[in-house]
Amino acid sequence: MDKQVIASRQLDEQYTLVHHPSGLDIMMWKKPGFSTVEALFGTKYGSINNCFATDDTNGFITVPDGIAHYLEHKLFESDDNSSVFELYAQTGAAANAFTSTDITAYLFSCTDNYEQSLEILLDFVQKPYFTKENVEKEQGIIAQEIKMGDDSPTRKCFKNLLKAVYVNNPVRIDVAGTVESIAKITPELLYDCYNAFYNLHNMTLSIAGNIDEQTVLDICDKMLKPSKDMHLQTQFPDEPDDVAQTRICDYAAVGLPVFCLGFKTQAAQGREYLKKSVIAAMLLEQLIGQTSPLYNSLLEEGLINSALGMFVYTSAERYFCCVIEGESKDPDEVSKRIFAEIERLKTEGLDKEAFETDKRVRYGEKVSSINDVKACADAMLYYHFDCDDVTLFDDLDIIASLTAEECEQAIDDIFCAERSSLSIVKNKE
Amino acid sequence: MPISYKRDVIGQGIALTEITDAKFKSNYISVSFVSPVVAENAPLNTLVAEVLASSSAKLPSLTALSKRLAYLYGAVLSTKSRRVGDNQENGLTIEYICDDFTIGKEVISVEAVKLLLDCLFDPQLENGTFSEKYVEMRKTELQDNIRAEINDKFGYSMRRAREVIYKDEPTSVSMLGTIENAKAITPQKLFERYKCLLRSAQIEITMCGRDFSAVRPVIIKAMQSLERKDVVAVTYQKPSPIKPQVQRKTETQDVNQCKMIMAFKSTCRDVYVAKVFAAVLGGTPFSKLFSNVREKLSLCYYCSAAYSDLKGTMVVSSGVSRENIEKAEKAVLEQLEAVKNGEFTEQELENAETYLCTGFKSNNDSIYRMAEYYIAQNTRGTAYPPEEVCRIFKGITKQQVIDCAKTFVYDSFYVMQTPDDETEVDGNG
Repeated sequence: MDKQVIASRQLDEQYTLVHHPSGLDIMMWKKPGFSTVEALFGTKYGSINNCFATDDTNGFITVPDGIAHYLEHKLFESDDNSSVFELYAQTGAAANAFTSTDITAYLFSCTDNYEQSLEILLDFVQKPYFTKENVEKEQGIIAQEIKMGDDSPTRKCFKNLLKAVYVNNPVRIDVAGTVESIAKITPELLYDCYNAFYNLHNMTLSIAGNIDEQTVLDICDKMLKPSKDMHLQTQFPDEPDDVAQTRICDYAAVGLPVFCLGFKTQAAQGREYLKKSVIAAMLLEQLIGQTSPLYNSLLEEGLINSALGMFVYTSAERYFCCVIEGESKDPDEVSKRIFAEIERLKTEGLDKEAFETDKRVRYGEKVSSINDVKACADAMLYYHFDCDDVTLFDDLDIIASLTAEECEQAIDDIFCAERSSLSIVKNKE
Repeated sequence: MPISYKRDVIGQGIALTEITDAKFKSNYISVSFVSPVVAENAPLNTLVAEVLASSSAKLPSLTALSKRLAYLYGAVLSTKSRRVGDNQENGLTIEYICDDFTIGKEVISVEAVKLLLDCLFDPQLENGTFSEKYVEMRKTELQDNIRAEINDKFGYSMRRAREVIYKDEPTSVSMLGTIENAKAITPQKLFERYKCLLRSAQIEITMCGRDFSAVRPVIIKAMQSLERKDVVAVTYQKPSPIKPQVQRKTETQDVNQCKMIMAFKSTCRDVYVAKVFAAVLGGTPFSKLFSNVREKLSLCYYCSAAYSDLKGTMVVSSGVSRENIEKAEKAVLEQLEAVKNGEFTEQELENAETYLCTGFKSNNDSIYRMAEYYIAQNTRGTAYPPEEVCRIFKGITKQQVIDCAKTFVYDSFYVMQTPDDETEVDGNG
């Protein structure tokens, strides 16, 4: 069994990566002194993977929008009608699952009996059971979930932003799909997706906290069923550099208009992906972070409030978009001011002192994040799915060696006004 | 289990709770003014905390304050404003990484704590009162927040429901107040309120993290220099009176999913038995409500119960489609009757207790949750460690749960529904 220890002396932490003979990658992070165990069993499969081929599919097939999320819901059912939650009930673990654009993961959190909970997790995810009846039954529940999401103006605003930024990329489709698209889902399609993506070669187990590594590996040896290579291929439509539309406006009952401004750029992969993500995050901070001149003048003028946030929305190789979101009485003016500030940064350069301070902030964030067992388990999985050639301690080195000049050179690419879209949700006039 | 817990009275109406555990890499300190809720003071108290978090005499601008926090490895200064039963808690919190994990073990802890204390006790003043600029800015933000309450449909429906459930009680008072009240606030009025809190509110300091030996004396010295007089004692446990008839209210909003909230009140004063009862009924993913109302009957997307010991009230909240409101209400009442009739197995009871234990014990792994946990313990006049609470849970019998369930009386019903029908119904039923 191939075993690798990834350590950071600076942070006094380490975790282990094991390539299990079944094909599964196993990541383990023992956290001395902690009471909890957090585990995620994840597959590199999300809402964007809607066109694929395997040995079984007879060429590429396109599946209904929202099927990855639907599959996640249905995997909790078994042939003997027992619910996975009832099994977890006996171990005391809190179980859940999520589907994003590029990952589906099943997780549990517990303080006792992690061994039994891990067995339950590995067992049910490897045992799909889809019937016409149980598939149809789920449509009402998921339709409710979709409707609930539509009631959040911020979520609506972000969904619209992705539709405006992307022309063909499936990231523009909502993870849950639509009430119409999920109506087309059948047990056969669910099995097609399951067989293609829930292959252990495409999956990772990430577990952190109060664990013993050998015990975890013994349980894996017992529970994992090696899966046959199905020669999975995924297909994505070509995406132009330009955005689909520069402005999109929708209506909802809101107190104050909400907005999302997104800047589109090319996706990256491997170490470059991590570096580009760090640069983008640091540029966002310089542009409109809490210590920036722009943030403070917008706040003092009452054009934004402390609900303002920003993040890099990205998936390795697939999409890369810098997002600034918030509430404002005049989102168009905020957007104009952001464009002007980008131009100023291009000509005057970054504030070097603020840039160096931001490096300290990012270091501090990393230290705080590993205080949390769940954050450790999540991070191992995300870093591993994103890139093969980086570890989750590598960003500390990237940050330490990054120069303001490198960031300045990236402004044109990452914050191009011509490749941006503004999404607004406001009250009907 | 934490390595140490201690609580000391360090001044008139001032208590310091310290929880230390060397496994943590960051520290968290919360300093709060606790006072009984009074409608006209509620938004003022909220605003005092916001203004204090904007600057200090030493760092006389938001930018200067933000830059200093960034320099301290991104220490996070936040406001805390919330209701605790019939009381209001307002204050500031800070989280910073431990000196052992800064680059080169640079000492930042004392500086971080002094920054917090300066914001709290040495604010930036102009002509003997709060800075007009920051009062105006935070007033605008308060108004934005009042307008934006409607954006969060779940939170908004809960607030509206609270007005029905706790009619004429301090718990029904909005912490934000109205737009008109916000506009009328002046720096002088706010400063008077601040002085009043400094003088006579209960002050609760809670610290949780790796080590506070260097900062504890700094905090004690600052507290002892406060001039305290006529300290207003707070009573946390104030059960809500049971209404003679179920109070019903239906409102329409531009929502896709209706929010149904039902409140049940009780004379049972054993918090842990009541928590087990609420867990059996609707506090877990295998509870009566989840497995019957959501899973078997597919009547709602979520349906869960939560018990507040401070008000002796259990609230069942659910997301339902309009045509299912009546059926869902009936189904919830049926499940409550089932628990009252003892229609649950010893296994279901044990599972609910185990589930609660997992939640309680996992508090040990987070500096915020540990701090919050002991703040809640204090409202009950106890300081049980999580393991002790688990021991109590495990000793609770089925008969105790049945007896407790029987004391719960249906008190209030609130629905926020989709607007396809113009009827709005208020009244008794």
